[in-house]
Amino acid sequence: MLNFYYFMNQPYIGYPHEAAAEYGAVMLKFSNKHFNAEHAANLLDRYHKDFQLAEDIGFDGILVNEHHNAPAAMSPIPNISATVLAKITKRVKIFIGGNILPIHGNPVKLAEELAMIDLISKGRLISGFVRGGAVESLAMTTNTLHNRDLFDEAHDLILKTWTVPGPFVWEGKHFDYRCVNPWVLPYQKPHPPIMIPGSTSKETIEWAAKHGYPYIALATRLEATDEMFSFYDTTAEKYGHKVSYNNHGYMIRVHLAETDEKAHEEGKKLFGGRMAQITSMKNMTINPDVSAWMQPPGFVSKEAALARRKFMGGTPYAFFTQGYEKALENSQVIVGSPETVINNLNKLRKRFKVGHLGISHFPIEDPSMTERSLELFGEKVFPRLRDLAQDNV
Amino acid sequence: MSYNSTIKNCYGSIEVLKNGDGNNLVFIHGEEGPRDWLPYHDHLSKSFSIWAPSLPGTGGSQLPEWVNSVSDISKVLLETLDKEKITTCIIVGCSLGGWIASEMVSMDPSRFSGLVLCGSQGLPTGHLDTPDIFLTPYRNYIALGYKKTDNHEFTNLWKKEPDDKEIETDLEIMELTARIAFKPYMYDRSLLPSLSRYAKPSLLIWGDNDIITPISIAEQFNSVLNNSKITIVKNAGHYVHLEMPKDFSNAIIDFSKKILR
Repeated sequence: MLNFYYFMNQPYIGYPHEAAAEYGAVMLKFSNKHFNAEHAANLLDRYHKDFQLAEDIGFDGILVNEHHNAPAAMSPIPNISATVLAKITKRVKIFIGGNILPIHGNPVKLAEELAMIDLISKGRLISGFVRGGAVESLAMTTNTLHNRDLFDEAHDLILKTWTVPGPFVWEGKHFDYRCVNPWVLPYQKPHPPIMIPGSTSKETIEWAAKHGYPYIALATRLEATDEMFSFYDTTAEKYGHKVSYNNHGYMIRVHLAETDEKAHEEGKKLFGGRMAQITSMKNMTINPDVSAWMQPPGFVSKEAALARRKFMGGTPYAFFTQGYEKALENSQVIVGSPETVINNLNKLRKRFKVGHLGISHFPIEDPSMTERSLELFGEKVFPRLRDLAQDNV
Repeated sequence: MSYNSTIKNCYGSIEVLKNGDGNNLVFIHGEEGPRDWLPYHDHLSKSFSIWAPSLPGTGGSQLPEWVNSVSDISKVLLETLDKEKITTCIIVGCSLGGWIASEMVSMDPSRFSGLVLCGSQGLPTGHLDTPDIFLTPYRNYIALGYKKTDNHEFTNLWKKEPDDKEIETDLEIMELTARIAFKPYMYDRSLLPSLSRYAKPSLLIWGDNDIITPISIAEQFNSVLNNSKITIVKNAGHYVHLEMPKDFSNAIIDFSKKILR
């Protein structure tokens, strides 16, 4: 079993890079005065077409996510993206990876929204839950000190809302309801599958393993990923879960062209141009406030702060700043002909024993390069890799 | 110098710095944290018996699990004052400590013979560009509370390379500040109306260059306190007690002479 998910952030492409460089950040307080609604509407339309293309070429699922206050992702409410997917696709799983539980504020309403998506899509929802980066909490002025508490309680309440007949009363530390009794419940029983995407937090890996939820590592470094999955497996088994390929997932950026040479030529352009554009890192002095946004009070334990340095190289910018060659060397991006991509993805599959592969690419102003990359994926990569993955059990 | 005392109360224990002779003066620190015995403590201890607690969760003070608001903190501190049998005192609070002192005074007005607020938090500023402690690196935020940072008043306390203990204090006070003042950001709309029951003398000490709590905040406090006065300290930012300790202390000593006469 090997499932492929197409992932795209739905970025706002085309904000003025000079403004971003001057501000020194492209998140949280980078002014939205540069947002052009007509341009954004066209982009969203294009991304919806990409999603349909992904289904047509054979992806098993489409992954959407949640971010706020940043041009990197025009998807503050992933449930809206998922609802669109429920209507414009017919077959693929709709993987929300995921709703940021601590900032949603109303877990019962979230349980209802997700149930509606599962109903509309006739049982195609995979519901991811995340704590979100600290900036997401800051964007919604949600107390970062209570982030984990809020996550845990919201999760427990959503599960109970989906699985225990109402009405019932909830008297929690953060949430109080006198009458939980929604008349929309999920199509899938006992509830939609839950998967947990993450990158650095040992606490989250432990939490996912404890619940037996598949953990999807988001482009983490290879050695660190070995360590993370080993920790996940030990913990899951400790809690009585049998670990299989279904428990591990990995997300990676991929670009294909007909030949290795052409793929690298395009890859360099995409990586250098687009990545520098996303982060505005080139010639930019990072705004000193950014360090406060990454680790506000109580957001992570001391251990998690250290782990972040180990897994991601210190800051979330490390992926982009390491450069194209290094990213290739670290297998954090795979670029090449279909044969090269098949070999590299298969190595990753075997190394991490993954049953779920998230594939993202580099959206740019001109989508033709990435469309071709996707088509090659469908024509060449899927059949071979699915065949090679027969031993995934 | 002072001596540290640990006071057990019904919720846990609170660390208190003490020194000096005279009438009791309770000093409540703010988001700058407990930083041991400082020059303003020293000046004030020549005229008062200083009682300066570390807020719950900072320094050697325990944080009761249920504490989540300024009002909760106030209950812990009032209980600790009871245990110490301090039934009459002047209370001084700076910045976040001013908000806590205001809350304590509104809860238990008869205990306090005078209230001194310095750059007090607790009210919305109405300015969208007011520095935000949660969106700014901690020590950069503190620096915004000084008019000048190139002098020893600043560099002695906020070293470029803080040691482990200082970093630990930074983390503790930031967590406590988030616990009680994250949202709404640094204010409580019930504070001002509830404070109007306090009829004894009050002094509002404000720096003329305070960009964290602008002078309009002092004016709002002044409008509800029945017997209050604003003293502006020139060439000072938000943390007047840290930047101009002598002026700060002298203003309090003058104020006390008038009310304790």
